[in-house]
Amino acid sequence: MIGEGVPFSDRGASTDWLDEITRIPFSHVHNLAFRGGNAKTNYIATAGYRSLEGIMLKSNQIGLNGRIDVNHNMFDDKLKFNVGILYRKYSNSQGYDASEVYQDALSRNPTEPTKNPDGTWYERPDIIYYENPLAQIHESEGENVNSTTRLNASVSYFPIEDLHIKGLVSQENHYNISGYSETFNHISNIRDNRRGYATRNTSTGTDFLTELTATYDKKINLHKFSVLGGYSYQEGSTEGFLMDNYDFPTDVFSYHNMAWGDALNAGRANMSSYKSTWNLIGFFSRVTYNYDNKYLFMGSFRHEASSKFLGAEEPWGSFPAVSVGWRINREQFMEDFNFIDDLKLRAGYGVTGTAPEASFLGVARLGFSDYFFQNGEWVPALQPVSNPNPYLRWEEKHETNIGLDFSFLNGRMGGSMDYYVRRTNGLLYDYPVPSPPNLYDITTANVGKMENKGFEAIVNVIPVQGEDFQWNTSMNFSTNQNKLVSLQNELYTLTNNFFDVGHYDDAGLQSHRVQVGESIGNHFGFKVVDVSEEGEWIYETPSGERVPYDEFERREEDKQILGNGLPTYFAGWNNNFRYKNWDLSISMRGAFDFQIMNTQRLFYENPTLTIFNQLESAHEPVFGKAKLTVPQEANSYYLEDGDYWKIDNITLGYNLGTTGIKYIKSARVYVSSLNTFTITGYSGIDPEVNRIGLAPGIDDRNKYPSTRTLTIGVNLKF
Amino acid sequence: MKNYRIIFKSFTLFVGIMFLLVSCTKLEDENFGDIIASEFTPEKSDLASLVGPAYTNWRTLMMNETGLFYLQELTADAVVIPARPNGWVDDGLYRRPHLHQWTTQDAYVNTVWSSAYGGITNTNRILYQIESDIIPMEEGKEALIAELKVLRASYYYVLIDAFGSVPIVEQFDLPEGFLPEQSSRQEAYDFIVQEITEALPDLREESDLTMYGRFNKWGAYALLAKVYLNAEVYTGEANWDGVISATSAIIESGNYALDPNPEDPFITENQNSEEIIFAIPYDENYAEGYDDGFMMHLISLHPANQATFNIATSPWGGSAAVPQFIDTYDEDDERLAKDWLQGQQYSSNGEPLMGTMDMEGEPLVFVNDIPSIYSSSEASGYRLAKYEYKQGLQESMSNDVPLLRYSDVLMMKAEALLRTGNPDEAALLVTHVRERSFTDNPEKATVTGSELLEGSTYDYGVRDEFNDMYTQEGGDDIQFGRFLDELGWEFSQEGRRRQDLIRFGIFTEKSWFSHQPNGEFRSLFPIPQQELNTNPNLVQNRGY
Repeated sequence: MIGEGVPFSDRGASTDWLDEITRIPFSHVHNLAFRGGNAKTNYIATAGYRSLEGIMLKSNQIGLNGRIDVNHNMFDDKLKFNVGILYRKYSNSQGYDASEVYQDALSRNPTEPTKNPDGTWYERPDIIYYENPLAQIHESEGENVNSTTRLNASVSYFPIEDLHIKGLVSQENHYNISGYSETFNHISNIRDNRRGYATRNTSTGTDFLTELTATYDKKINLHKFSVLGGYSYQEGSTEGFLMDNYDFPTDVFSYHNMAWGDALNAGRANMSSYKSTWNLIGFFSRVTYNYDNKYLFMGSFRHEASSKFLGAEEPWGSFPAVSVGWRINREQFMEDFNFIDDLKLRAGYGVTGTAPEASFLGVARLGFSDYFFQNGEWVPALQPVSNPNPYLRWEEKHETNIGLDFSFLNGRMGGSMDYYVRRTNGLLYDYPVPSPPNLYDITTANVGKMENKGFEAIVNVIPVQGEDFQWNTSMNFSTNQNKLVSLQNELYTLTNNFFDVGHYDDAGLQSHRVQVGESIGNHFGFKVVDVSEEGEWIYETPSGERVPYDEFERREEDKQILGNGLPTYFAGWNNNFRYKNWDLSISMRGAFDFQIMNTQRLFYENPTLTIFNQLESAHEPVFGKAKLTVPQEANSYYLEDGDYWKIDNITLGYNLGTTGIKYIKSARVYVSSLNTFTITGYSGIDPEVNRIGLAPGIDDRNKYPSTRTLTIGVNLKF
Repeated sequence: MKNYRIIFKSFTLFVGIMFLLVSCTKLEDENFGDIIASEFTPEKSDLASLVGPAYTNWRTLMMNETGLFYLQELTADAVVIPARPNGWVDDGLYRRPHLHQWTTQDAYVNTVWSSAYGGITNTNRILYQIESDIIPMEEGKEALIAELKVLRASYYYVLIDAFGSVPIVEQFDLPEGFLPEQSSRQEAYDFIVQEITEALPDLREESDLTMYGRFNKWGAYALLAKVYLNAEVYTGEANWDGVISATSAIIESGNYALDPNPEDPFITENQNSEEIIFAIPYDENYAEGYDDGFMMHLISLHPANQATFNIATSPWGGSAAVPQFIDTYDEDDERLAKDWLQGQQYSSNGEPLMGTMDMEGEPLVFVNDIPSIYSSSEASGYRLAKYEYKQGLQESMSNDVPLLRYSDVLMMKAEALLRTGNPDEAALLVTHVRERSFTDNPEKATVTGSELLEGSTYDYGVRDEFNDMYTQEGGDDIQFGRFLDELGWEFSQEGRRRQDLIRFGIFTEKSWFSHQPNGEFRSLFPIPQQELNTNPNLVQNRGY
């Protein structure tokens, strides 16, 4: 294309950068399980080892895990003990930032070589965000080790037949240590004139839980009821520290001899440390009643306080729930319908609570963040950390649902249907607030009300059930509609009923509008409908007027809803086939009616930016008319329908049955593939993009690419 | 019966345990990272730490990538950030100011509003703490209160200049849910003038390091002069006498003088300048980073210039001078060569630097030619270099940014004299300021009164090669245009050009480079959308 006059510099080589940084990875996983014991004492022990390779070079994970659970009963089974211990350790050896390397591989000029003739890496230190991805991989080293130990124990006491008192404690410790270093030949050192860079980081966290419950169950004739009361206490803490240093006398130390970096002496090495703790206290109760397994009732109540609300006026929240059920098939009038195994109508209402992530949002805090120049010296300045909100409270989710469970023909067909309305009150979020009078223009508060309504159905069918051949199939379908009901509370008013959030990658203006009466996830921006002969966008205003590029003012009023990033429908279909010793399973899923901003096209499909690599489509006519001549900009042209149907997992297995080998009871071999095939009109790599948060439906330009995985495995039973 | 007794006993035990646990309902309250304000009792030694935040907001306000400096320069006729071969498109972030197409959501508008009001809210809080004796002070209380009120007035000065009518909030202990009302631009102006005037008698007069980076009496006079200078824009009624008396008070104090070189107030260690009246201190270690550091070198220099100044990182190569502005300079004006990096670029060892993007392999020569805001070469445009680039620059610079300096005091007085019919007196002051910039041709430093009455030499009109657009507008018709040119040369790259263009009536009238007038209402910025959304008392400025 350079020959055709595309202003792009030819550097003589031909490098497939993605191919250079990736490989076909090979992984293996081994698991072992033992069970044993008798009615009084029994145990289960498992151990596992896995060695995984990532698709990018030098990205490996080694994992080890083990678990032992022991149960012991004594005093005629009146006292039961359970003790469990778990250990898990993963170490990832991948120093470099994968998304940065991926971005560099995509944006790198394919005519550049990987190395200079003298064997050094080919680098362009003069261009920012442009580093040889292969050199980044080979000139860095890192390891991140995470381990977890958990110890849990419980005692159950059955003083009489229907009473069960249980105490439980568990403690989990997390430990992380990581290190990262860059050699003298790493771009950051070549460009910034440093001699090596290294950093170390470690953190540890503890989660402690204790719970005490008493349950009383009683059955009197056809009446069955139970009462439960309990208390729970959870506590957590995290602490850690990190440091970095550079200008080392040698590469040899990597990150194992931090003191020898000269940046420390120059006052440019960094260090920091932190600690935080939290706890959660809960009292709870539950009552159930059923008559002849026909009429069912459950009522429960939780009363909880979280230290996240410390200093707020109401740290306690109360969360009730009730549900009723009617098993219609047990009614007399249903006796004739004997093909029905089960038919149950149920309805429920319940409230659950969510606390904010951060602590101390309710109190005024002072922190050091800046320095102030005073009489020739820099003095740390003490100032408020955030706008305190003493009215912070639990976010409450009120869910009402009505459902039907069914099962016919001895389980050949079954499933459930549900309709739900979920109202979230006091939505926790960092809301924009006026400044003045506030110091900062966001405050964490409970303001919005949101409603989600939806229908879900699952149907399981066994169409064929024979000695040699069996086919199980399961289909699910769901739809969800969501709407922001209000953005107001007694202390907080928005004049315009909306606020904007999110960004399309590097692009400047905000991407999504959150507006009362509208769905969450609306892409909000400029709509283009055509292109001029000169290759300039032609816009359409919300009133339907066509405006050429030079006259389009890009005002707020010129923006409109361009689409929505949240799918309206979801469906799935799973099948399991068994023919004699063969088994085959296929799982598929899809999502429909939503739009994705393709930021890779937004970025690489513009012919005016010639310093980075481009998509071939950058030189194709826009709207089939003219090649683009104007700078990169986010608009509706790069928004695409994301509807897809994905064949995810296919597994084919063969059961060897009794093997004839003395100690092996049975064996199965299988091959399995993940992310097998996707049917979609979306032009990006994977239409399954982020759906969380207020700015969904953005296909991140640097997202680690989804991979297709092929597994070959053996299951053995001894 | 036995069973019921056991049930009873068990439940008693259970209830007993529950009671024990009720005492375990204490919420975890230890904070390891910050100080809980209610548990903090300030000591006298904490004074500087407590007062500091009121000043530090100026750093973000001024030099953030979307702060006041860029708001005042990129919207005016001297500095531009064109699309470069290595980017600088960012969905129009740098183009909209030049084309006067900014929106109510542009980052500039938000940054200036929120950091100015951040300073005001911090000042109100500290004033409240001093006045209610939460911060213990035995002496100097009146002087500190007066200083903080002038500091607060400086933030309000930025707000009326940029946004016009803005809410005046002067209290910290406000009732819950309080939403401030907008004051008219006139009311805000009166408030600023009154606050500064009332503070004058109590302010400290030292002009040494003890008051460096803080408002002393002379800083307050200079700020007052600035406000009076623009009184006609702010209120419709000029106050040139006010400018003359405020500037004369500073001149007569004898505390300040012009530095020998025009660049002295901008060197790395500029805290000892005799010329600086009020500066915003920055530092590569203590006041650095994207939010409130000073990163002009990275924003303007070419990546290859890393070798020129041995910078710790590679610059990004964006901002440059508008070629038409450079053309206004007299060839013997030494400020042209000193303030703008131009011509062949060299490494610190004297080796010529080469282009690396569209001019790869060719010598890197900064030329006074930029095709368009939409497209440019890596070599397009002279680079900003008024602030000294020392050898071994880090990611942020240590040069302090002078906001009010003696040269400006002289020029404000000169402008007031010129506009009140004393062009010859004005010319004496202008000549005095020019002398240090024409050391090789001293005769050229002299300006006469009648010259100051002439129009501008700026050749206004569109010059856009990319869109093939050219218009001829010139500058002859600008009243006191020559004086506007003098302001351009002396105060280039100081984050004020927009204000001067408005005062001389051309900000929304003339075209330059790719810019064409886009509505008279553009002389004020819109109130940020987010503020309108959250405070129903605010009314948007006309035109937005």
